[in-house]
Amino acid sequence: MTASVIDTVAKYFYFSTLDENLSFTASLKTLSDLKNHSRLDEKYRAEWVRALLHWRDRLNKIKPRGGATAAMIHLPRGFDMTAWRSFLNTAEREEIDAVLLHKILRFSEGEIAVGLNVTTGTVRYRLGRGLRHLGGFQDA
Amino acid sequence: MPETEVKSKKLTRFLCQELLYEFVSGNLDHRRRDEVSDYLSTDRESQRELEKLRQGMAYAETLGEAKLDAETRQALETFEPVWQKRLRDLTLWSSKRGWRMLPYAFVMLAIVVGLFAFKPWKREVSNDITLAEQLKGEPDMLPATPSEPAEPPPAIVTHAPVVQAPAAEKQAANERAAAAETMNEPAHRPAPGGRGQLSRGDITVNDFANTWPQIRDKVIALGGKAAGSVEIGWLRRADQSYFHFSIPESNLAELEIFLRTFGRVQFSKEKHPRVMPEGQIRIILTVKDAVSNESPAETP
Repeated sequence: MTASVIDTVAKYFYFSTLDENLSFTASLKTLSDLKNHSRLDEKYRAEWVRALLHWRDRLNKIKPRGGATAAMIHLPRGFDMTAWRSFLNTAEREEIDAVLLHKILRFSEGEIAVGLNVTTGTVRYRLGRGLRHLGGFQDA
Repeated sequence: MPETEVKSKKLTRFLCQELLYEFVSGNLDHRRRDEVSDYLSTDRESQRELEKLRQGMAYAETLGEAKLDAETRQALETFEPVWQKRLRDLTLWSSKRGWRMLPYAFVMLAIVVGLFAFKPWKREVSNDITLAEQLKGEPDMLPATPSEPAEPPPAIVTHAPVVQAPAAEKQAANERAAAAETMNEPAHRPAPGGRGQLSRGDITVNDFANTWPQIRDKVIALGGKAAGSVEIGWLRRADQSYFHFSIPESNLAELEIFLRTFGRVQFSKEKHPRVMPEGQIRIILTVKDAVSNESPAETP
């Protein structure tokens, strides 16, 4: 299992939920899913997107288990998560996913478009709205 | 609507703000980019939106530098469910202990297979006791009068006696059993409502010492089984041999032919309380030495 897929999956669920145990369990399930379908390689990044969204929609059915460390993610020094937390609470799910996948996890617009089964124009539109939304919390 | 017509639409605030990401990303054509740029220079609201967009992008870029904890990565990479861990431990243990455990496992397997194949708990019951023919009249099982011997005629014939008595005791026991049997014969005491039959016969032979064993062997060869308490061919006296046995009715004719080679024999049928199974008959035959038994033999 490559470090890339582990990092991507773990960071996606952490920044989606901000809950270490839940994101750890969801990451295990997603990684297991990808492993069972032999989709761990970088060339299947669009499939990663699909698997991430599949398990994101089932987060409320996942029972968190132990195993995660206290500090699952190491943020840049002095970074303030308030804006991101506000963004998660107020933005639409599509906007959050677009920003998270493209700007934080470095998926290309094309990979996101394939994974979400939408056009790249739609992805860019969601990105624009999401980034403006996120930037709005920094003014405050 | 044709695309050229859409692109030539007059730029509004809404349209300008929606195109800001494309503008920043450099995905607009020159004409549209100039239009957006011109509009931005005149509209403060759109300028604020552009600023938000840039701040959002910068914030997201910084957040993208976050690193996953190495320990968490390791835990995710090597995670095993509890059952999988136990299975792995068991496999490891068995791989280390397997060869040492093999003899024990083999012995256990042999014991289990042996028990399953031979079923000793069933064997004891079936081999030790053979049920003889059932008494039709219950009174026959009990002494008819108080003066009769204490030992009742056995209803069960045991082929393999559990306790081996010494020879003298065995002889005495046989005599007692034969006496009791004789006293309980229907010839002396009629059985109420008995439907069974008994064939009784005597034969006097010249060479008694050699003849009675031959008769015994023939009876056994014809499927004869001891029906009384004594063995077939029991020497009641030195010159008399007592045969009380059951035999398939179909073999009676052959037995008679065989006996006639030694002397005259005739069977008479009597009523008997014991009902034999279908196709079986009960016979009491007395073989006597012609030399010492000049007078007619007594029937027991």
